[in-house]
Amino acid sequence: MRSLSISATGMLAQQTNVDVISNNIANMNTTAYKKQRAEFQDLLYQQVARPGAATGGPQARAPSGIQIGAGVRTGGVYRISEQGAMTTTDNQYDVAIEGNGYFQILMPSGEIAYTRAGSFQLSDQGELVTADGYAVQPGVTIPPQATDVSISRTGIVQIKVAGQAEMQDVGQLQLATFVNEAGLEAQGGNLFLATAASGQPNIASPGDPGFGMLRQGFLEASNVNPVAEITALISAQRAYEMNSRVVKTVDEMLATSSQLR
Amino acid sequence: MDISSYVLLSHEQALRRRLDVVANNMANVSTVGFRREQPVFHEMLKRGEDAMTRDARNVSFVLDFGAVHDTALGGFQATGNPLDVAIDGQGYFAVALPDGGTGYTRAGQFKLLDTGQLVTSNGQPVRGDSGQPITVPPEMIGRVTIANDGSIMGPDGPLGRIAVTVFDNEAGVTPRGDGLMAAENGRVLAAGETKLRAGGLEGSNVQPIVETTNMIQILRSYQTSQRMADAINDMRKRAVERLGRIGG
Repeated sequence: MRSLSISATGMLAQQTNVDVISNNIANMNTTAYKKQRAEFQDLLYQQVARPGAATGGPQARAPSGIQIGAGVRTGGVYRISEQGAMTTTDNQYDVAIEGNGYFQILMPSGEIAYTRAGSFQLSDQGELVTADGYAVQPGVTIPPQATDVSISRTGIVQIKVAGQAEMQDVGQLQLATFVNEAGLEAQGGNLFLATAASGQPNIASPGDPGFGMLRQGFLEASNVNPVAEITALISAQRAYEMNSRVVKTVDEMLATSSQLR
Repeated sequence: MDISSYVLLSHEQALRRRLDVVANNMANVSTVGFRREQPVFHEMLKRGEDAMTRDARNVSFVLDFGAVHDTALGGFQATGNPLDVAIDGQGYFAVALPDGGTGYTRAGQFKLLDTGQLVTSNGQPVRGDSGQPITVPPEMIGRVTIANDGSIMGPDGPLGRIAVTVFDNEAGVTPRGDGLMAAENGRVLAAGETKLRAGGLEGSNVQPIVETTNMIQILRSYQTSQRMADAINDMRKRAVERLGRIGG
């Protein structure tokens, strides 16, 4: 019975679906997390040739063969890069990106990783670093005598020093965009790496054409919509049950056959 | 074995195939753009000239003649992805296959390669209305939208139009797996006739309730058929015993 293996592929696919949904729900409060969706495709069809099928005269509707599908497979898991909501934190080193782009982060290995989670802090050297202590590229150092730091919409970092009326420029944050964002490889820790699929980063200042703007004092929330996830979870569970019903049916049919005398 | 057992056997084989089709529909209940398959059954008449009575001369067997796909539209699932498109109405997106041929699909999960080429989730180029692939210049990435007539709109105007191909003979459109269909003699819809919806995908048109009831029906017919075979078997056994007693 081919149906057994077909419905097994169906159950496996729904398992993957639930895995992806549960990861989304787990990351509901992760800064700048982008929800993921599993994507399915039907498997190869077996053409069962039907000798004699064409003898029924000119049939306009039915093709001259019967195709039996072999089930389903997970085609991939893709990220939906919708903008998340802006949540205010009033922390002067929290920077959210409105629109396209990623901050560049220098990893200890010397590689550049990319992130949209702009919850920065200062290192003991006064450098702008991520929560893990990795420096933002191009590097920005805030001198200890600074009393106030402002990050403009276009990424210019300025400080106020006591006794001086003028703000001083201390750096310029830049953003990287990718032709194929979906091709970025997630590293965990809100970080992504460029791959052959994503292409090389285009680097420019925030606010340039095709690049987003920055917002100081805000963080981008995850774009997970709990209601949508729960409904997806329910339908995945039901689909799993439906496929297990097919398994039960096949079992009953086989039982009927085996009880013949 | 007389003819009745063979008739029942043809019925049971057809039912098994039907269940395979139902199982495949069920397995693909979450597959984007999937269209459910429906087996088509035929009566196959065989003339038996050596039958005793005239009524028994025609024996009808069951033949599963083919499968047609249901062209009902699946539900629209909003994803918020600007490059996700669903076709409103009939037709298929045309996809360039590695061997130079064209495949057709209703799964509109498109993305851009690093070269700026618009491709399906399998990485196969989407054909435009002139049959050419569509390429977005790198500086416009992230700023393109898909209009309802299939035009890819950049900041300075359209960059190409996604083709939607319709077929007069839907039965000739046969599934090949990976969400692709093979078909001949399609007609590309003009911009005025094309209706797409961006920002979402078409779900599969499998209705679980329908498939479940089908499945129950298949199971019960199968069991009935097997019981009949059992009864015929019994009858034959008794006949042999009787004849044995008469002969003795």
